Amino acid sequence: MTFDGHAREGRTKSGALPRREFLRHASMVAVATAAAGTVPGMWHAFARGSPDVPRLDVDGAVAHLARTAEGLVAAGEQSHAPSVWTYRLGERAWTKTADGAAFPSGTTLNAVAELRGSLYAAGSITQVVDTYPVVDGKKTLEVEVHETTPAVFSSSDGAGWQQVVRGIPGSPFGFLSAITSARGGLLAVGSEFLEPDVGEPSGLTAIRSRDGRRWDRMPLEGVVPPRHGEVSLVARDRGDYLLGTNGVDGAELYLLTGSASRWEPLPRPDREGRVTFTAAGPVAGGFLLAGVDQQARAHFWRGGRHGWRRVGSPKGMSSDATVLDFQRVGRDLVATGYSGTGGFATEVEG
Amino acid sequence: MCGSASCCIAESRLVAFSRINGVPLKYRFSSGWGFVTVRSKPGFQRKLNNWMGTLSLYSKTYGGKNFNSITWIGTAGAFTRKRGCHGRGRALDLNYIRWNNYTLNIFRGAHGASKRGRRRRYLAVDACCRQYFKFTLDGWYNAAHTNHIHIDNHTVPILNRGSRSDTVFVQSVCNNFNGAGLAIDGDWGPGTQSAFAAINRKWGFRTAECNPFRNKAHYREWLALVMKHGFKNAAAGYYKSSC
Repeated sequence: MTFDGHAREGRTKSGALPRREFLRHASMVAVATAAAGTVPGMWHAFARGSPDVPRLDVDGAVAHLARTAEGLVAAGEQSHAPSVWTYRLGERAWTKTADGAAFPSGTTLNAVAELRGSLYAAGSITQVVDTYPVVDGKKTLEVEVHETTPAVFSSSDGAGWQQVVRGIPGSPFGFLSAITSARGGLLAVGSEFLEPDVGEPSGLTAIRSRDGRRWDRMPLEGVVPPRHGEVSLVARDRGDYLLGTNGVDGAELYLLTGSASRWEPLPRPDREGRVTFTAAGPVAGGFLLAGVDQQARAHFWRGGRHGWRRVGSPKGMSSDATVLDFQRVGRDLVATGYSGTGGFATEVEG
Repeated sequence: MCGSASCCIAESRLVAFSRINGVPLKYRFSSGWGFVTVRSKPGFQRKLNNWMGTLSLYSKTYGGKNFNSITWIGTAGAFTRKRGCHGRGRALDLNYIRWNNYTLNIFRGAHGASKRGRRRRYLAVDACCRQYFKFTLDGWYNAAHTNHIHIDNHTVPILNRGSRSDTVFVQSVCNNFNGAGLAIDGDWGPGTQSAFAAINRKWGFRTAECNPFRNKAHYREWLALVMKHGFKNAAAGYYKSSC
């Protein structure tokens, strides 16, 4: 869609733009024109005004967001099927661009990232690889053996997806829980299982790619694998990366800065150590970190390498929501996750 | 299998409990062991209660006066917000069992204890877990489980040659009750098959009639043999199978 297209779609039936929309588009036109019509210029334009990203509600969970040149892409599940939604800047609604039909059966999408105009969604594929009968008293049960393998899919438009990672050498079983663009390429992290059907992770796994096609294993130097655990979040603030792990013993945070190859442990913001960190996003002065305690209460902190400061729930967030991702859009943040009523992507005040 | 971002949504359907079939639960805090409340799905909690009943009965019956009653058990956690069975409230990590006059300190690596008797008691507890929970991941499974036994009710409890979890357990049973001398590598090869056949001859488990790989009752009987010998601290053959 062209920039003019956005403006046209923003008009009312009578052809007139509401005052707020008019001012916003006027601002966009000015800045985008100044930026010679480049795509970053469009984001720059939105940064000066409020983009008013519409709310997305689904029957399921919106796991993760990626910012693209044209807007936002969200990945998650709806009605137990993998799903992708896109939002183009200036439009009034999200569009569902892919559902279960776009992915192999048993696909779960946990995260999405953008690299040089292409989208990459990370997760897993669970398939039945064997069945056998088991006598249980007078009944005979048909027992299924499931195999879960890490997977990455790529897409140019959010609608058609091709699998580019099918299992990881040395870690055939497991899942990828996060993917992010990093240092000119992509970094995906997840957990591995030792055998089919056992769903308790035995360790962490990470792969990287410069072009989205060839992927290599990489060590997560400095990260202590959590017991039965997983990577619960990877967030980026310019050159800093925040990684959260969550296991039965508790959760930990790590920071990778500059050109360093080793993740450094960060002090936890909660003294009790009973909070699971679920999401983080860039805000002024570091990260906004979201967590949930054992009583399902949400907690938020701001900070990073210089420590954490407890803050209240971002405005616009329902009290029973579990945040799974934050993405900065202009001055605001878009949060994704799920609550008692289903999954959501919604603008909050960061 | 839960690999989904929304797998933790059903939290409201969890039940909180601080005892399993009357036996208190403790957690190892930095200051020491203290009473704890955990959460799980109601169905998993019922299984835990049944498991505790069986553990109490077998340890008291075959272990003697030191095993008359279970005073408390230690856990490293049950429900936690993550993918997998812990995230669905269908798993628990077990790391300590205190009877009236005997302690099995799984946290300190009882599976690798220098005393064979302690290893046999560990295997008896391990076997009891396997009667109810597949998967049971023990100290031989991988380094992450040297200080606890993970139990979940992901699927039907049955013996599977293709499972590393089951194979390391069978290899350990053959070594500790029948001196098989197997490498515990999780690979069910000819050596393991031969050792499995030998221990079955020893304790009279007739594989021509009883199939622990396809029949739940037969597998329970095989595990009961491990429990009896384990709590008694006896070599294979002290008790004979009814199967």
